[in-house]
Amino acid sequence: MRISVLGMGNVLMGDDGAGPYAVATFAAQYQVPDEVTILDIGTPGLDLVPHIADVDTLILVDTVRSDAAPGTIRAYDKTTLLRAKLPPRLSPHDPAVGQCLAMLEIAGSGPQEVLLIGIVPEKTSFGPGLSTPVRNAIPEVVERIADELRLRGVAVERRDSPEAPDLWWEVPVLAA
Amino acid sequence: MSKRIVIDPVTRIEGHLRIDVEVDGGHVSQAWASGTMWRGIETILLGRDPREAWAFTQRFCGVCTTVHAIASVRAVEDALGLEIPLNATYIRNLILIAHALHDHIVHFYHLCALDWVDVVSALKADPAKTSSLAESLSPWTRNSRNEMKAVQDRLKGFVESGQLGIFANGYWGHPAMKLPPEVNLLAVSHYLQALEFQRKANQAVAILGSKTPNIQNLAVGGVANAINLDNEATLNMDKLYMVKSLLDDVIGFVQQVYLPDTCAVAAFYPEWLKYGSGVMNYMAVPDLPIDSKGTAFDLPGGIIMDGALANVRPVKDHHDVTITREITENVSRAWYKGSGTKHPWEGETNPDFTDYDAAGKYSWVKAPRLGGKPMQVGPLAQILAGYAQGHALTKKWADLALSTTSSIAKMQITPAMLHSTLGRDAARAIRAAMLSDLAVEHWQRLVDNIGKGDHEVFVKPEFPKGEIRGVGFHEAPRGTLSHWVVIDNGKITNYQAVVPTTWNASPRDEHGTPGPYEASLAGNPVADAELPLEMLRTIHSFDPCLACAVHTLDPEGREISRIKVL
Repeated sequence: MRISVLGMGNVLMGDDGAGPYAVATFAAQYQVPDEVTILDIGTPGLDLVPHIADVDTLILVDTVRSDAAPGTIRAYDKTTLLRAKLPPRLSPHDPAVGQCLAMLEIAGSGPQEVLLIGIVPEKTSFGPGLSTPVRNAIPEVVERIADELRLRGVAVERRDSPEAPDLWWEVPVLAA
Repeated sequence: MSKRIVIDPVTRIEGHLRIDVEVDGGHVSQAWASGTMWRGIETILLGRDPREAWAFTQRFCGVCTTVHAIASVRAVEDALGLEIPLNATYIRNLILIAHALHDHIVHFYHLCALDWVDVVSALKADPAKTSSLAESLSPWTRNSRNEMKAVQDRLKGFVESGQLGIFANGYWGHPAMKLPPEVNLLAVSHYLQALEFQRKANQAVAILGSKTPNIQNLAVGGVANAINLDNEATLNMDKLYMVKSLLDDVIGFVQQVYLPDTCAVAAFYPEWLKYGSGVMNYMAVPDLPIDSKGTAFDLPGGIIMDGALANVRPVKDHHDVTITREITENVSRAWYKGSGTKHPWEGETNPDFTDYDAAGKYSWVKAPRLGGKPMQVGPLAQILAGYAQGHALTKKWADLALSTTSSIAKMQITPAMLHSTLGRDAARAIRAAMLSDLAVEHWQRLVDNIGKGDHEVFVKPEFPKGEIRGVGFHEAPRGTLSHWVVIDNGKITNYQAVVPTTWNASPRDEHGTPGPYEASLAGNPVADAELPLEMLRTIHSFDPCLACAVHTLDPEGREISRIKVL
């Protein structure tokens, strides 16, 4: 079974980087077998298709808009994602998870199962770095990813000596 | 009485483009394009190491990743006067070609096609007739009756299960939809096939760029792909042949499916070869360099003013003084302090939001100008510039597209009709066909150069004391992109990106002259103000990209953009 765990969002836009941040942290702390792909997918719009067309189970980690408090974690399944109505699309780049899933569905490919682990952001404005509530939610998101993989029979191993996550976008500017 | 239609992203977080039009007597009289999100992302780069800038710039946009990476390394290399190895040039070119092919295919099938294709009508098509129509247009092997029937059946199941709601943004049954059921079925089947070829193009980028999205192999000074034909871990012949085979498949789709489909759509909607011209000043820069000095290119550049092809001014290289000196940005109608005009090297980003005021400031997009004039950029600009200069590869594919469209439409389609909404979509398909020929050529150039024993891929950059300036141009899928960098003692002190959509979505300037989106909407028909499909056709033909910087999903299904009629 092929499983992809994709962290979505823009690392330069505050809490929008929560998805990439969470998958980078997960990859630093856990080892997974080859059939599992862990990827910071950025903000691919319709370009999500190549990354989900051949997987059986898709786990997305992304910020979600919700009335809940910042840092709240919410899960959504494929039916929910396929039910949301799309707004008129002006650009190929607007978020397109629903459209990509629907296109693949008609084409007879794409993931059978989709799980969206959503994190409610505090601030998705310009500049790298997470807000405190979202940063505090990351460990729980990481454990949730591990649990969801185990639930699907994946041998997830905690690394004996965890690496520092590759958060290159948080590297400070050069000293004056 | 005139009516006002607004396509408005409701929240700042998600929406990037707002379009307001005034409709009078069923036609658009005036339009305003507004970027609704601040794109001051360049300021993140201040104080950083110029060698790392490209990793940040490729995050400006999640779709145009490679184009911002390439423009950034070119800008820094230009500042240093660095010549990069031939292998690096060809590897970059192959990535740019594969990315552009992918991007053009996705634009046509997955964004723009739904403006012209009525998916529900495809259910009424006769699969056998669809197949014979397709076979009259192209030798493509996947146009059989069985293939068409299978797609129709699958579509039927999808409609019956009630899942089609997700495509509620498609305007099916709209009076402006005119394709016969068979053409609709053909388009739907190719829409699904396009998903496969999008993946193949992406795989080619992934092999050369180490990863997608967000390639890892670039460096200021070249690329990081070690070349060793005997080593599994490096770029070797096996990998090069994998790239070739993927590109060959994509090339077949572009030449035998994408281009003929575009011609067929244009032939059934000839009136859209009249609407949507707008700003007829065009700019394209040359790209796909074939030498390490950047003096010769396979894609042509040029400047055309007022649609006068006969007076085209060639842009020979990226040091042409017209493009390095005459590009400015004006902020009199944009939400920045003041009303000044600045060259990008002197560019400032001082946001100053005031309310939306169509008579005053109304956009986050600055107004770029060339010699004070608004310019349209994109595949159409490049095709017209090449055509006007007699560029052989441009003429080969443009003439084929024009003659194919003419024969389906049973009327003469001339190059002058390309100044239009469907002309922009056709130009993109023509450009894709050109790029597909160039994919083969540049792959061969790379293999031949390696065959000579040249394995160089990188020159180490050295930063001098004091201030240096550079500009990196790239003719991206959406048009001319430029990154402008000022470096002082090895540190970035100014960085400005003038992106294609800034040119096309430009607001008015200090003289009140509208930008290309705004001008192109004037005169468009609008049959139903509640469903302004015609406006979407024209806007989509530019392939907008307004910094898709934020990706928050809305699975709880609240409205994130809407159409209002005032």
